[in-house]
Amino acid sequence: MKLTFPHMGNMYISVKVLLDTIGIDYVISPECNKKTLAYGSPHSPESICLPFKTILGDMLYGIQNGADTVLFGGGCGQCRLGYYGDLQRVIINDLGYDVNFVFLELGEMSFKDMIDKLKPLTKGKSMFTIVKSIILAIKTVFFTEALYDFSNYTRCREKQNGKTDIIMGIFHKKLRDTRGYSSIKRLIKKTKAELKKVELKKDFIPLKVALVGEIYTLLEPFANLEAVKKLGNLGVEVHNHISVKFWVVEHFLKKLSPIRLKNKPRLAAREFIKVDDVGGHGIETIADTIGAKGKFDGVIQIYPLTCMPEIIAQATFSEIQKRYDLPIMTLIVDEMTGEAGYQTRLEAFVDMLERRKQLQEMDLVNAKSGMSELS
Amino acid sequence: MSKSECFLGIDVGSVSTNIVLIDESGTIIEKLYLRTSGKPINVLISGMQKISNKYSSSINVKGVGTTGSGRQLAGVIVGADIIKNEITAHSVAAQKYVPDVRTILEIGGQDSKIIFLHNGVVSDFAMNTVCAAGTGSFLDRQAARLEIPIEEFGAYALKAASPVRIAGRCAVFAESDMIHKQQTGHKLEDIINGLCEALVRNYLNNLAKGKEIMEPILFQGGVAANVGIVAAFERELNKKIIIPEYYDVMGAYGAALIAKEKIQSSNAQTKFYGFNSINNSYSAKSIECNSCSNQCEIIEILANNKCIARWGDRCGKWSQLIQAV
Repeated sequence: MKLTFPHMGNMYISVKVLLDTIGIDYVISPECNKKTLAYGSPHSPESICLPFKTILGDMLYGIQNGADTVLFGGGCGQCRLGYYGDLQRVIINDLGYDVNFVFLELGEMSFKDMIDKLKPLTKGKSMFTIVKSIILAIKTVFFTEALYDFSNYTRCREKQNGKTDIIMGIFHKKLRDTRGYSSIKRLIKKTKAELKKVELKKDFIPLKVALVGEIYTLLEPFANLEAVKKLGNLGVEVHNHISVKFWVVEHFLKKLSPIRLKNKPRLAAREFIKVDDVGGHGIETIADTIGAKGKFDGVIQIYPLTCMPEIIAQATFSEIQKRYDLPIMTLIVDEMTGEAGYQTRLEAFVDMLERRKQLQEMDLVNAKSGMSELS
Repeated sequence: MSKSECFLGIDVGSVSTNIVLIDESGTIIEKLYLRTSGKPINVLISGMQKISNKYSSSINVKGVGTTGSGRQLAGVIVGADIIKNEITAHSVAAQKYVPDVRTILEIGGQDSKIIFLHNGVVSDFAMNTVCAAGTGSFLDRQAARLEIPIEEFGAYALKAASPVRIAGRCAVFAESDMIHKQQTGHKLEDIINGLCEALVRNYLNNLAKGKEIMEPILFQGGVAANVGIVAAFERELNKKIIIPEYYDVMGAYGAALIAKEKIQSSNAQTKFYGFNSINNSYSAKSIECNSCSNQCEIIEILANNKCIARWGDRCGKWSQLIQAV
């Protein structure tokens, strides 16, 4: 048996650890690129979102390179993602490929359902190995996330532009041929040490921007046209709450936990929208945007064209903007997105945030001097 | 005779390439509005030559700013002190014209923008997201199809007698709808007026999104020359629209002003290569990098067959290379 699975940002690092530890053979398609899209696009419905096309592209690449089983974890609320897997299965079958599909609909599944679904993959492996590999994979998620967060920290502060990008580029290249938990962990550690050596500007306080929106486009640099890198190189510290870590915690770990915690951000979103679910991470988008007030200078929403949950979320923004005086910009991406216009929007947004910040600081100074005059 | 000190602003857009020369006080000495016609390098150079022929003996360029979608390209060719996006450039220029401006409507060749200002700072902006309907190129195309010179296109709309509703959501549908209306016998003036109204409706729905449009309102960009669109805006908003004197080169004007501010505040030397450098032969070359799965298209800008800039790579390998040289 040979497995393949689609990309979602840096998730493949942890999946690699998982499969290596269990001992399942796999094919990974190259990191999402134009060719992935060229694989997926011709067989996808025309007006479906960009992630569908690239995910299908990843699957087809895997199948054409020897995989006989497709693993895909999706499904969250009423988003089309719920039908994603089924539609892709039909398309792949119609193309004449006879392969097995394992779709984990994480939104609705219990832990037992999950083990049942995974059974054909783990035939002949001991429970101990399986549990161990899941734990190691989850640990890797946290390590990787920390590395990415740290690179976001250095990128906007580095003295010489581009240093962080080069280190992260080398990391990605080496990662392809690194296998097993301990070697991957070592590589991450080494990269982090490299990043620590990057010379940073002193006394520089960067603008802080929160990214919100559709999870796949946020995590996949190809889909969001490297928004994180572009903003970082403009001297902006980028935070993305909807990450692989979030996904694993929200849809996997919390499922396992016997205690049902109150979903605080979701409750916060009630201020603007009185439903529990609009599909995908629409409610999270609203909640994270509200949560950004006071902590961030601005919010950027990114979603693929035709993404229904995010369109609903976007509708609340003019109201949020008015009530909290929080700048929000929306970027919609699909395969036709022009990079020049995208860069212009990012630059203009950053310019605007900078001027606002300067004025706010001036106001603060004026207010202070006004106070001292009064006393 | 001592040379007067000047600043250059260059806006390389999809439809037009504009060059503005301003003096130390920020007054426009010369403006050029040239059609880009898909050849940004040639047009930029011929524009620079025009400026050079007329002024090179009497002025001293202290600073250069570039903007527009070709700002990087223009920046490396002339040697720019600042390379700024259009939103910032347009708002700086508008504020110079009307200091307390609250709303800027800007419709260019390939994009349209709306900029809101509050206390002299951009407080919000929007650019058309997924469709180019309602931009200059579309009007250009329709004018060409109807064989009306673009300069007279708007005037036709003013002669309209009865309203015709055109579907303005998408350029392709708008065109089919116009053809349909022509075939059912509507008058040309009415159709053109309908188109102007559709574009304005589309613009306000998609960009302004119900946000309050406060006066003073400035209308900039090449489309501001279209009296039909201006009239449609005034009808729809029921507010007065101000068209600045140099509405068509506001981006370049803004870039020049930003360059002036930067040079004057920092007392820096300009990076401008001088008027002689435009006699070099410039060309662009594109190569596909095969080092990784991204397969970036790398653009190389050559001056006299020597590479002066590279971009388009995601990893920074190629663009770093040139910085090291």
